[in-house]
Amino acid sequence: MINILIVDDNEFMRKMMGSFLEMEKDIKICGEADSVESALSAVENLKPDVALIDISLNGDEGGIDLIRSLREKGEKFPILTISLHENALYSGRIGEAGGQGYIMKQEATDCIIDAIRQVAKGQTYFRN
Amino acid sequence: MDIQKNKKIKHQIFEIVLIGAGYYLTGKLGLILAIPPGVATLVWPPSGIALAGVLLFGYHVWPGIVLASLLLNVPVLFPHADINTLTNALIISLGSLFQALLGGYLISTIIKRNQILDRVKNILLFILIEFFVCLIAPTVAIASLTLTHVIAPEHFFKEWITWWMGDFTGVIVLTPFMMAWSKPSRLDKKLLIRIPEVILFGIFFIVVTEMIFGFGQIIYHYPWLYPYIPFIIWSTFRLGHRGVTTTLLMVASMSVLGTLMGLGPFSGQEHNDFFQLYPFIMISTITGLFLGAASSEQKRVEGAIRNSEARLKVAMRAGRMGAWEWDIKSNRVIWSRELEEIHQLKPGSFGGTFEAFKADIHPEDQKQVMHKILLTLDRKAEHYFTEYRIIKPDSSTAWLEARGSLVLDSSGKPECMLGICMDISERKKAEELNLYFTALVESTEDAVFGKTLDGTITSWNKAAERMFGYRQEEMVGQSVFKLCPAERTAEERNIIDQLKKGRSIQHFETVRMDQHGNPFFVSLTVSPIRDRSDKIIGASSVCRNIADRKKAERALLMSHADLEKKVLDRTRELVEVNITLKKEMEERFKAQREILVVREKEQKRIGQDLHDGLAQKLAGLSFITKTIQQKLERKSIHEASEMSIILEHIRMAIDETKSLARGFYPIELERLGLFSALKELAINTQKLFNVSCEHYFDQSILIQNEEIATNIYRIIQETIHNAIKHGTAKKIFISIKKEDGHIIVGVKDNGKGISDSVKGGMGFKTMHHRAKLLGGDLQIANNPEGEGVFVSFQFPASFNSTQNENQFEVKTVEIL
Repeated sequence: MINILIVDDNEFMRKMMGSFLEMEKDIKICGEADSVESALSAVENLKPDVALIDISLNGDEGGIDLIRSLREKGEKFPILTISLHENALYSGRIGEAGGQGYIMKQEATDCIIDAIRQVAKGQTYFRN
Repeated sequence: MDIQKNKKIKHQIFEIVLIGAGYYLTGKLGLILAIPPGVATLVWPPSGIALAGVLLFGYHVWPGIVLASLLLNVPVLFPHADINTLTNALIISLGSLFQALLGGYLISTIIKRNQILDRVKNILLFILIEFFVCLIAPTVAIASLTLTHVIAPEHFFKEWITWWMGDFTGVIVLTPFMMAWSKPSRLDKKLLIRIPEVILFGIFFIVVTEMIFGFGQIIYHYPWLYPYIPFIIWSTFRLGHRGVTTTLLMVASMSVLGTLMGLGPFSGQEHNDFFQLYPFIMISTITGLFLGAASSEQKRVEGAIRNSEARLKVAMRAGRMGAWEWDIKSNRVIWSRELEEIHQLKPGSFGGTFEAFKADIHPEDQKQVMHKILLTLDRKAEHYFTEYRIIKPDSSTAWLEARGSLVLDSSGKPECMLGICMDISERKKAEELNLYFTALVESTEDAVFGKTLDGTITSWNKAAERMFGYRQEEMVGQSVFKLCPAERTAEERNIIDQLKKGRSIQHFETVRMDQHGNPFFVSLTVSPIRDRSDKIIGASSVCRNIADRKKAERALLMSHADLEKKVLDRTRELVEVNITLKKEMEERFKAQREILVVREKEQKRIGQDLHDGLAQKLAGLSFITKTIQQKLERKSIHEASEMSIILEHIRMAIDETKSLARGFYPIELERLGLFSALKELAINTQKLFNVSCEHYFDQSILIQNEEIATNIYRIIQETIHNAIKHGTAKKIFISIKKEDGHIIVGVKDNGKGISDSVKGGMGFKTMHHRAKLLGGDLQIANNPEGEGVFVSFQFPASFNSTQNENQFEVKTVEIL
């Protein structure tokens, strides 16, 4: 069972994504957060296996800051990032920040399950 | 001194001996002619020699005369000398001496010694004096001889007259002869020049003498003396004093000799021969002397006339004068050669009539000349005097001055007019020049006056009269200080001092005053005047009233000041306007920028809403759709697969929304920076329009300023949009690089190129404006290689780092 923390500032997006992921038997949504701060406290409380973080947080690239903060705190769990932006723009930077994968939202329905499973196994998921 | 005296004495002794010898020898000759038994001789040359001696050498010759006389008389009279004889001889000698001395004294006193032969008057005096003086010796001698009974009283008169005749003849024949030959005479040079004539004269004389006296018995004897007369006349006119006196001596000698030899017209008549011969000798001699003197006088007068004529000619020529004469009755006009020269005529070529004279006169002057001539003829004018122009053959003109007088005939009618003409062209020229200069001085508006070095005014022109109010007669002789205000006396004195040093004063602006003491501004120019020897004798002052000028200057100054003020005001206004304009421009620029910024902000909001709202919602929708699809599939509902179509459309909607959002605002720009935003743009372009969009970005460039990044992004975005929409390009290349401190942005495509109508569109205007905001200039050109468009712009790299307000400032100023 993979416990997932969904961090996205759009509530509709969190709900829809959550119900989609919960369709999978090995995936469980352990919590949701809508900001960097709430995400950090949620991580403390929920200890997720994988965090699914939208890059655009707090009206900015808050997602990347969040990854850095978590890594600085010593959190080791795999982080998969998601955004409407092109892969090419973020893959590198997310890797550098400590993330293990990046998927585009418009393609997410096709690849998010594989991505979660892959990062949960300790692999990375970046499309070139 | 002694040597000279000795020389003189020796000379005198020589003269004494010479006269004594001459006296003695001729006396011996004369004694041959003595009339026996008488003591007197009819020809006594010694009397002439004695007189000539006294006249030529002086009274000191007396010893010669006395001694020679004694030697001659003693043996002749008295073969056996006794005391009476000696006494008589001494008395005779003294008588002869006294006669010679008195004659010499009277002649040299009354007549100038060397002019005896030159004038008729002198010859007359000479003959008269000697006529009486020659009475002395005979009277003394015959009286003494009678008293001593040597001569009988009844013979007294005859002896006395014979003695007198001898002495007188001797004097009138020999003295002139000796005088003529002893004095250097210019006229007598003719004798030498006319040697052939003299020889001819001599031959004829010999022939005639032979004819009269028949000395050689060759020619027929013609016993008359008259043939000698032509010789006398010939000699008087042709041979000068020497010729005349010599001829007279020869005539006398030949007559006496012939008669003595018993030949000639008076032969055979004993002693009476000589009494008859005498009148002839005397008359012919006196006539000859008179004729000679007359001839000499005439020649002298002729010479004098010739001389004075020559002098007159020279004087006339020097004075450019000529003489004229108009014989009124015959209408003959005679011009001297000089006058012909003045008229530029060849000698003798003047027509010689009054009409010819008139023809040469300048037509404008003819009337006036004729009038003057008429006045003279009518005796209304005392003298004829006029000035007129003549026209010379070379058609040049000359000014003549004519003066003349009217000559009346015995009946008081005008006979002729005569006078002179003078060429006064040069004087006229000088007069005209003088008049011209006077007119110049008089006509000028400047006061011109002369002054001496002590400040006395010597001339005063019309302008000076007008300027100062004093008339000429009031001012000439007055002091120049009269024109000088009291406080400026020292200044005038200084001017005079300068003049004395030869310096002139140029345009010296000062104040002078008029008759009423009113001062006015003048400009003075004072220059020294020098005489011919360069000595400063005075000064000329030119005084210009500059009151008007001063007024004009002041007016000009005022108008200058006014103008300057106006210019200043205008400049200030302009500066104000300029500042306002600048401010307005700046404000406008700022407003434009603000509009852009506001627009960007608005667009950013829409873009963010689209991106973060709609696109997220669409992404959420894609999840629910997929969830539903999977649920349907699990229920094995066949139509579940159709959900994929919805999913596909949702994805497309997300991309379109993103593209739309980017159109409003490239959200990546803010979040990821310019290059990321451009990469996103390139990828999306490729995805949405299937257009290859490559790029090159110099990674050393860091665009920090959002506004700059936005502008660059927008320009590139618009260019890509145009390339696809208008150019239907399939390939686009974006580059951003750095060169020479400039950032260069370029976008190239392979489309159809761009039309001018598109260039003028709103999109392009905005692109240009954005480039300008960057401080760059946008270049849009169709690719010269054949296809597509190349859009580029560059801006200073420094512009990027700090958004410098001043640069906008500079820009606005340039726009102004």
